[in-house]
Amino acid sequence: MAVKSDMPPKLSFFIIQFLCQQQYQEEILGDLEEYYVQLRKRQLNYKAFRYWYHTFNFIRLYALKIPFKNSIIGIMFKLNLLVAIRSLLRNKFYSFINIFGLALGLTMCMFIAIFVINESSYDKHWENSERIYRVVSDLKFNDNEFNMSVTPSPMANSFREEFPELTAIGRMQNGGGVMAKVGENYFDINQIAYTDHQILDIFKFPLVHGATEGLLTGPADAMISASTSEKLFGETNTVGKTFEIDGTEWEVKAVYQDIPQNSHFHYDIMMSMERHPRANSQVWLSNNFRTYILLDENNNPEQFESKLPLTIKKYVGPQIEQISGATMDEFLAGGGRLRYYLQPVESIHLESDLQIEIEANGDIRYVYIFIIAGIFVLAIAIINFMNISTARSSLRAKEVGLRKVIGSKRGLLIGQFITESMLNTVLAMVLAVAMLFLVLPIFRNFTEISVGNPLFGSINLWDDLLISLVVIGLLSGIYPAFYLSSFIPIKVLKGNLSLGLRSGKLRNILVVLQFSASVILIFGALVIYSQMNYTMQKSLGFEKDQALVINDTYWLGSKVDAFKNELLNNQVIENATMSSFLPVTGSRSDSPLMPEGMTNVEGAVSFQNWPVDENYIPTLKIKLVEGRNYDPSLASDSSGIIINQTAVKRLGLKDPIGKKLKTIHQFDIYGRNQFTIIGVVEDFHIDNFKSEIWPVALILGRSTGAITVRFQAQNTQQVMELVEQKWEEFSPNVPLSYIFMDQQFEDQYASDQKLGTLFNLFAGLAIFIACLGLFGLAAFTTDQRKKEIGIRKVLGASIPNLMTLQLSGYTKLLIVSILVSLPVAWYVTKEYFLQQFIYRTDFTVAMFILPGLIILLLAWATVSLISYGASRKNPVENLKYE
Amino acid sequence: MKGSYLGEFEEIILLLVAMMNDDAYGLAIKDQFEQQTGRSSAIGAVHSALNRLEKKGFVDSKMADATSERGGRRKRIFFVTAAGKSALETSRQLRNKLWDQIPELSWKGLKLNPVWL
Repeated sequence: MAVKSDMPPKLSFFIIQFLCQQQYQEEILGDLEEYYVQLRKRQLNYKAFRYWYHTFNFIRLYALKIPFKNSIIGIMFKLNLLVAIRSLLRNKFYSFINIFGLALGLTMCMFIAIFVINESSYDKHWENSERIYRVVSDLKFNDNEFNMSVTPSPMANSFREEFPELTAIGRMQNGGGVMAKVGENYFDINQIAYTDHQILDIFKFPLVHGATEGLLTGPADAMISASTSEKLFGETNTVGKTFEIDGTEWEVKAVYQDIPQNSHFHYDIMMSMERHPRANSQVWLSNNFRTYILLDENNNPEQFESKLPLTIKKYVGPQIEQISGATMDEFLAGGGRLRYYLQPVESIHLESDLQIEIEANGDIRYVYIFIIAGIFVLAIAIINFMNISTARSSLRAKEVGLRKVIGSKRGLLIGQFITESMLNTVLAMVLAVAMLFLVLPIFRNFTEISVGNPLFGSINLWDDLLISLVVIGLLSGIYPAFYLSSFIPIKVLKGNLSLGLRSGKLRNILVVLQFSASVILIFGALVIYSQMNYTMQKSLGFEKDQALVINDTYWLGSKVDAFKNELLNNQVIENATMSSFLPVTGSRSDSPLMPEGMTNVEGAVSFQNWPVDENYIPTLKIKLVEGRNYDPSLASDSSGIIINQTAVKRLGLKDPIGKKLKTIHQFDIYGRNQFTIIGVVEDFHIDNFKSEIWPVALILGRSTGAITVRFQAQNTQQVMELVEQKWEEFSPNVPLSYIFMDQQFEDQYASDQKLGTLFNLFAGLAIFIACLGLFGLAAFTTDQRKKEIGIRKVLGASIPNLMTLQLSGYTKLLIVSILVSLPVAWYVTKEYFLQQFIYRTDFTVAMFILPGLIILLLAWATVSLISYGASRKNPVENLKYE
Repeated sequence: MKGSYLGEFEEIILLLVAMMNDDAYGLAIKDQFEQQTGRSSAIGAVHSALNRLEKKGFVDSKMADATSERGGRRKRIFFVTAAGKSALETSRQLRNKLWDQIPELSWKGLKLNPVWL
């Protein structure tokens, strides 16, 4: 662009006028215009560029308009800032304590915020997520209650017919972890799901390749996640390729983006429902499918739920009548319950705690616990600032007095002290953000939360930081500001030295608050630790140690028995059992059983029915309390059944051995519908401690999905080698997949344990910050009392005497805080934390003694650091200036 | 005294102001600077340096009468103050003093190192 017109571009003038101070404008604009004329006369390249280069070069600090630069506010602010910086630098030690403590607290709060935001973001990323619901069941037969995330197979189709107002309804069936076969290679897949094609109208999985049109309608249709595609085929565009699961071939019709971490399911492969054996089942009394619905805007869930009972009666009523002879109304009148309700998909992660969830969910109580911990720590850090500033007030008293004499109004003084606390907060914030980014990779690794940039990414913290900057600055500054500015000049200038102590009462209260918060946090940490420990060590009813689970043994086909026998024949293996139904994690299958002779369906008890072999009980070391184990030589055992104590209790059987059980409506369970109880085993936990013990029936049957071997600890190495070698012999193509049962068990608690560790860390930090504050406070008060200490020493006080003197003041405060906080901590942990565990640890005496002891010792150590130095000093040094 | 130090760029500008007597204003100084040193400079940089020199008390300024050029805007004419003159002299004396102390030997056997510009 060449310079054409006579006049320089107006824009350049406008920029200068807008940005530069009035006093410089005339010469700048004059020079610019002259330069412009000069440029036009000369033969030069890039004239426009030159002109603009010079224009922008006028935007310099000396010429810039600075708002309020010459107004009272501007000048006062500059002055206040200067005073604040000076006072900060004059007392580097106290400034450090304030800023570092606050920064630690802020860093912690930011991590808590990331955790909380992530926890509450679950399933909100789906399109229309606020209208997506999961249908869940609340059932009661006799005294068996079931709150399950699964529903009957025919529900989706029936509801679709009955309620045309539903935008979409569909089912998913969790197929668990499997091996997928591509060519001659096998791959471990974490989770698969049989999926109705209607599900795709509810959850809009973003596709990388393929089209939504007609997806999952063919019987062999499958869609796989991008990372699964990479894993199986080494690329993402794999539409049209095929893979095999358990002998069935599937064709990839679409590749979808990996399901985000903050979702309640993470299926790697979704396959057409059509070939699922129970896809068209009409049985309403067996719950195995998860049903999701999408409501339209005009429908609310309550409306929909209110229509359900009639529909349920229409479909389930006849089946109940058929089985029990009682009508639906009679069933309900007898205390039975058959209720299905809607659960907003957004609430599943934090609020749903049903039986048979897909993955371990989060817990809203953890979210609250962490929010409280965050508030406590921040409060402790703010109190540090308040305490140190008011305690040091006597040093500032003369300054305040003089300022007032010269004519400073109270408001201006308040402004000055607030500026000081603001400066502290800003510095702490900068430090905190630096620490945040420093620790973020570790945090990410530890919690597996996929956070991007926490300040400006999806977790948008920057505006919260700005708000908290103002709030914290004001909160920590307001009390010192009002207190310090209230001094009466004549008193402070006369030299009244008791000023620092005048605010002592409030300071004591604040110290008590700080340490109460610390005690509560320690107590909480102890309870959480103790609960974890209890979970890990409690007798489970079976032996989880020294048991190796070999997965996916169904690949061995008919050779599986030979494989098991080969293992059994070896010296190092104590025992081996074949069943994919295992206590910690494994297949699950429930259906009701009831005593023979009972006609009312209400007497039925829902059982976990597990097909096992005769080695199951001895291998898992489950205790037989009555009767006997299966004996392969007795043909009659094929109709035998072994149940647990809970089942006996639920069935109401007095003398269970020899009693007969039957299925309802002659349903077949593993090919039979009548069983004779031959043994009773001690209760054992399945899944986890949060759920109650279920009635379990062990039935002689075939389940080839897993083989569990029991061995001696010292033989671990040989066992591993043996298993690997035998597997290689039997199945050279399929990779061996195994896991130790205790490992499997601990994995279940991995997220709980991580939260426990985080909480411990936070509690530790809180105490550290509190001690930091106490250190500053002690340093100051000791400094104030150094003459007293000197005189006492001259008069013959020993070092221990002097230290006890200084410690006793703080000890009183600490004891008060311990006494105040322990009951609070006890109540809160009992009512809000332990409540959620059915099998929970007891409070121990140690829990009540330890927090106090820890706090006392730490506080004493902190104060002693200061008081020992002061007491040891030669009194001459303390007194020589008098 | 705060900021009585004279930077190289500032010193040249100050010398130019002295040299240009009565005709020293922003753009003219910039042009002179470019002619005399062969280096180029932004007008803004010259203004900024003049502003600093004025704050240090080395130059003073007054607004000239308005002319029809520059859209009727006045020029700000700079001239050197006594303090400015003495700062220049001090600087010159320092240089002379140092020059005088360089022994002849220092110049013997100078190597011609390549200078990367």
